[in-house]
Amino acid sequence: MPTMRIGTPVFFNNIPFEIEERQILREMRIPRKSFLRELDEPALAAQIKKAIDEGYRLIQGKGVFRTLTITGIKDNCVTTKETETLFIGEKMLKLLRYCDFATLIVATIGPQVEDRVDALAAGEPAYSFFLERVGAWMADYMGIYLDRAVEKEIHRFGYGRTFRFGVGYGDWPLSSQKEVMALTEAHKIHIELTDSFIMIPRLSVSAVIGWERTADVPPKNRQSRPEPDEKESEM
Amino acid sequence: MKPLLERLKSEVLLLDGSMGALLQSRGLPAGYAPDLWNLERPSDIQNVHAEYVDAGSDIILTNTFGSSRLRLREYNSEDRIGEINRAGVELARRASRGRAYIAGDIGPSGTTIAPFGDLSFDDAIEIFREQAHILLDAGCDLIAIETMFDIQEMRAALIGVREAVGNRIPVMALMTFNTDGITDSGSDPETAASVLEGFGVDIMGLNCSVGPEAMVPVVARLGQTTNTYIAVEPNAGLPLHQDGRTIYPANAEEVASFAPKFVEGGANIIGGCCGTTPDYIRILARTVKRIPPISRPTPNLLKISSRTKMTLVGTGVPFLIVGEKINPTGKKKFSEAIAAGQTDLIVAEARKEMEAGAHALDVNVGVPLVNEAEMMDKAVTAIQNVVSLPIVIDSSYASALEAGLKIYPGRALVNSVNAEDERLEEVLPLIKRYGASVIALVSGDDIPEKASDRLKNAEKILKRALDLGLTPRDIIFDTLALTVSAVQEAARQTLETIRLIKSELGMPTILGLSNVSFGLPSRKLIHDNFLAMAIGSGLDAAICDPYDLVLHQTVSSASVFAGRDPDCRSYIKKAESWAAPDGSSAPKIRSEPNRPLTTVEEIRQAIIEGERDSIDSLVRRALAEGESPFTIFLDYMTPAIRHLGDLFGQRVKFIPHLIAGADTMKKGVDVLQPYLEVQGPVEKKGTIVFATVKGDIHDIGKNICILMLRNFGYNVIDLGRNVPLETILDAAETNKAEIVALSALMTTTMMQMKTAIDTIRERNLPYKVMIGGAVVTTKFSEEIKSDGYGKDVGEVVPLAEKLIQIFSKDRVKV
Repeated sequence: MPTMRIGTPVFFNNIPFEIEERQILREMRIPRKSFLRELDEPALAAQIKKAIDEGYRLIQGKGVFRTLTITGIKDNCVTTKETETLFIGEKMLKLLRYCDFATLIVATIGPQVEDRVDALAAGEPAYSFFLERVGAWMADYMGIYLDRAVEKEIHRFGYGRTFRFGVGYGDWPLSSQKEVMALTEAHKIHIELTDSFIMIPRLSVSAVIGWERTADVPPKNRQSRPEPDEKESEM
Repeated sequence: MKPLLERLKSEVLLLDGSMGALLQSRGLPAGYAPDLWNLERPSDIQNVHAEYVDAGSDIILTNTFGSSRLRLREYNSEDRIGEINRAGVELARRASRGRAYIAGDIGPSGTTIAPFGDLSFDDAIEIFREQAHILLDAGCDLIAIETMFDIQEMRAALIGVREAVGNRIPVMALMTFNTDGITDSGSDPETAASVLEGFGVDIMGLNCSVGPEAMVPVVARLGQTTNTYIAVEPNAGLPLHQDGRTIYPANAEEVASFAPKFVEGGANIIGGCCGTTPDYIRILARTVKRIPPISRPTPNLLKISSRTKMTLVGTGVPFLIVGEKINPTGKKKFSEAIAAGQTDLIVAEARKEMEAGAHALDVNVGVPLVNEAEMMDKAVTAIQNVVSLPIVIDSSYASALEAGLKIYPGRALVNSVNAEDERLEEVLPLIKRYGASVIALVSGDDIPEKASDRLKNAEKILKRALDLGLTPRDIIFDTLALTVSAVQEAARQTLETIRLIKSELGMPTILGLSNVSFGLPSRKLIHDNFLAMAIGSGLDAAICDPYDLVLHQTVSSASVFAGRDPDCRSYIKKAESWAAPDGSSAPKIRSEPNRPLTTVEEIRQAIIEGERDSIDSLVRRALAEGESPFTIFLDYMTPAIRHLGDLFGQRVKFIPHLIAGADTMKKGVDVLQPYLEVQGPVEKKGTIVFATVKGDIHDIGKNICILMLRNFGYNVIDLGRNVPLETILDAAETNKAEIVALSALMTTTMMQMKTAIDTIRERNLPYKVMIGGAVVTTKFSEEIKSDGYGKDVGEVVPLAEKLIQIFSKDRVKV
């Protein structure tokens, strides 16, 4: 019987990855195309391919998850052994009400892609954009990688999972990042916060997944689809 | 009792079932370490064991699953590691009373192992070695390493266990596969089996996590890939959580009903994991004891693997192409990068070789004065992150080989050993310790001229390898391709050596191909032809240039004749891709005009298609042809980008097209600029101060909008990101801006936009404010009363045009 990894952060260095053309095209909002060779503009395809190849060189996937034991609900907050202030707001109450545990996940692709994106921004804005989109998807990818690892752990112990809820979404304040970072010891994977609670490297994700007592969840409340993490897709 | 491995030749044996569930029914609190009960509640532990032995278990696992130093530390009991493990063995022995074998049980460390996780590989080895040593001294009959999710952790455990117990008792190694038949670390059954075989485990298999149904195909796949004994321990179905307890839905009859399928697939030992009880074992015993194990002959091939992919090497299977490009010899930039400790060029080359069709990658990082061991660690770590191919670790230094072998979560091939005594003693123990395989050069102090002498070297290497506990499946011989222009007879001897090693030793062969053609013109022709001859002689693998298409064609066609390609299927499939190298079934038909395009038309086309590399020369050519810079800009470039905008609006083109087009236009305008300014500064359409708001550090969207606006003739002052409001307003005043453009990505920072708008209104400043960003919506824009909102880059230019007009009208009114 495997033992639950509760209460201590579990770190992942060197997360293996693959940059799928299909996902990058989706990230760039180019519909109905799965491969770069399907694009009608070879020059554009070559630029995106270059960004993907550079992504392979620059990305270093790291992550951490930490599972907290839920102790109850106090006022507008789901409390755990470790914190009574993190899971606040209606959305958190709704997400975690049938849960015994909540797992925080934080993942990043490291600083190199965005350093390069910033360096290219003035002289090569288009390529900078393509590389940034590669990085944005891959930050999600690292989050999904951790999500799948946590999901396996959840199912192994007979629980169901909630969807993945990104920090700062809905009424879960972005200021919660501070506690998420502290509890996961995210500094060990070199993630810091700005004064406005944005993760540095920017191409990072943070979220929570609940361990749901499947038998207790009314069918209409069962979640089946993960919600996307925080990601960049600004104007 | 008869030795365990003897009995397995003719019997299917039974393991026990779950310990935890039975202890919980005896009062073990949730979250409490069951292993501590070896000291605190010994009779309960002994009774559970006895129940399983009475039910029919032939092998029982000691209650020491979590009794490694690292796991006991969680309960502040690490100083009792000796007592707990010894008690675990003693209690099992008392319960068994000679009726069952005692398996010293070792579970995972509870953390993740480097390169994937935090625990160093050496520390992990030591943790497992320590526990195995105690269990052996306490008298267990075998060691069972079980519930391993990660092949790298299993590697560490096997090294530690082998160091502790040697070959004195059998070792059983059980991985945990998910419902998809893959471990958490991504290994399929064939890959896991290849790694476990490398370590010479006596029994391999799977336990935990899933029920019997999901295990049947995994057992069958193991049965087809290995002739090592197989053990299987399913959970009693997939667990559910109910009323604070974990419930396993499959009853004893259901679990037992799968036993015949397990045996049919090749299982030699069957037991139960989570949720199973002595009742399950009792019913299993009734089913299993009547069925004899099947015999499982498997091909005697070399197996190499990455963490996720196993590749067979030998007669009758596809020829192995080992990419030779990760090697600094003769590559200045590559050498400099390695000297600087950088891995990006290595990663790029690895990806390129994989995309070119290599089946494995030779990794050599030998640069003078570089710490090769450190660099090999870095290189192997970086490559295995992005490439799923098996790796060939190539170095003259044993320390570098060992560094690579430690960090590599698969079964590597090592390049190389030869018949020199010193090299044999240096390299072969590493191969044994790390469960790897090795390329053995058939040279000694020198390279024998004759094939018969090369065979003698091969025999010497093989003998020494077997003495050290390796098997013929751990070795592939390099028969040495020498430079044909220097010694023409040597090539014939090389081919003869291939034939001799096949016929006399029955073992696979490999060649480093590039050497053969040194000093000759059209080198590829020489080594591609030599390769065909070598494949004809029985060669199984080559270290070669995977970018050489003719080499791939040679391998494919020669493989047809060498019995490596049944029904020529692989050849036919590959031949299709040679006809259309991009993999598409038919070349794309592009609608081209009937007449050739003029240069200015080509400029227009280049912008629409984002051909940034050609625009510079096209614009220069148009100017040389006498076109006016204003004509180029106004009549071709501007309509091109507008047309692209229209296509974007019609959802024919998308944001990347728009951006690539804008970038191309910018490059063209950069060339035109000096010519345009000959008649004085070009008048701008308006001035826009653009910033990402205070607190926000995202600016990729802003940068793209600025690119578009500048192309359309706007003077854009880019203030960057995280910009305080007063800085924005100062810049607007200084530059006499018409528009302030604000970008934000975060819900928390978008309120800065409201503050900006409120301040501009309060101070009665003339600027129009346009906003955008991922979180901004039309509704929000209306709520904060912005002058305009652009949902994406396609809207920014029309919006700016509109706001400039409004601004001008407002000024007229004033």
